[in-house]
Amino acid sequence: MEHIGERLIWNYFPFTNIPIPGGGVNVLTIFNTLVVMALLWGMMWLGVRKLTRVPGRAQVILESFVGLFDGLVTSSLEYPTRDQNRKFLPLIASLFMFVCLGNFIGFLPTHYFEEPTADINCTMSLGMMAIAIAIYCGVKAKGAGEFFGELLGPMWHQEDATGFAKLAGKASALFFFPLNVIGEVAKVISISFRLFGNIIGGAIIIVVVSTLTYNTFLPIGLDLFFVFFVGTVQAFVFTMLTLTYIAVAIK
Amino acid sequence: MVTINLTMLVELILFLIFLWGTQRFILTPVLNSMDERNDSIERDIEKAKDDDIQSEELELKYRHEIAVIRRNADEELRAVKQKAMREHSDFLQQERINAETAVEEVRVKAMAMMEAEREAVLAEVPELARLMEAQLTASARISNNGGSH
Repeated sequence: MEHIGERLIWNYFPFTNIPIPGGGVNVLTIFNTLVVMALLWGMMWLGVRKLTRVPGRAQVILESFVGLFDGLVTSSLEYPTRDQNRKFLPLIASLFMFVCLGNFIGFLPTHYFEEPTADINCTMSLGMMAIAIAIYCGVKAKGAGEFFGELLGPMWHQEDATGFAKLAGKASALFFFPLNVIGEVAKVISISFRLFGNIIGGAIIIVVVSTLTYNTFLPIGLDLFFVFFVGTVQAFVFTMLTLTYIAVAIK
Repeated sequence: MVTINLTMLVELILFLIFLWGTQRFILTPVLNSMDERNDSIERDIEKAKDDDIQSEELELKYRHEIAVIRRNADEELRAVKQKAMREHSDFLQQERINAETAVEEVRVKAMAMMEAEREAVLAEVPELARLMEAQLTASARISNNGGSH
């Protein structure tokens, strides 16, 4: 069981002895990411290939999905116009689909298919991107001064304070600023490791139970539970957290 | 073993490609299609509301026109009835006058004929009296002659 969590790493470009910078790449993670992208684009192409006013089954499913996330984004961000809310819809919808199918793909019965979300590189990149987008949106909505000024703490902005109270308020920034910066970094770690931990944890439990028991059906049930139920829940949690971080940053 | 390496950057780039492709080729057409449908449905609803208002106005107009037509028709019918009754009455009056005239003419003619008949009969009376007298005379003669035998 020691191999759980281990990744097939390419340290050199294929068929060459040129080293890959940055410590190599996890080739199965990238392969599975490409598979997930291809599957998602293929499934969505079924919905958009014949767009009609009276939709077919695939179009109905796609439109229901898009409508669901359009409603979620609109109710979370609460921009006054539809177009402003729609700017975030592709990010949120793509993130959910990508993470969800990324969690599901380990269900395919070959060892080539591993969840890309069980690789910390994948979840960290998505988490960092989500927080970076939230910060960018916050700076764009409030201005850099106000957004980063919030990191200095609530007492920094006391307008009516005088004398010692004002001095203490300014001094409190020495305490609040590092705390808030750590809080922002913790968001990345929190959102990334939550997804990574849940997916890799499910995989570990399935392998442990399958190894330690001779039950035929228990590992299948666990697989279904961890892949589909936990996978969907975690994809939704990841997406909603991203949406919430953006909403908090812009409001 | 958890290893952080270049995969993180590759994953980010792949996701951004996926995001771009999804937005460009999937979501934009779907959202346009949904918006077009929603706009079309809203337009249809607005048009249906306008049509509804228009139909109510037309119904009111129609009812008004029907009422006017019915009133005119009633008036015309009443006028026609009155005219017909008047004509009928005049006709009856005229016929009565004609009948009375005819009766009077017949009566006068009959009276004249009766008078003529009476005068003719009266004219025949002396002749008849003479004839009867002659017969009586002849009868008396005959009876006298028979008694002498």
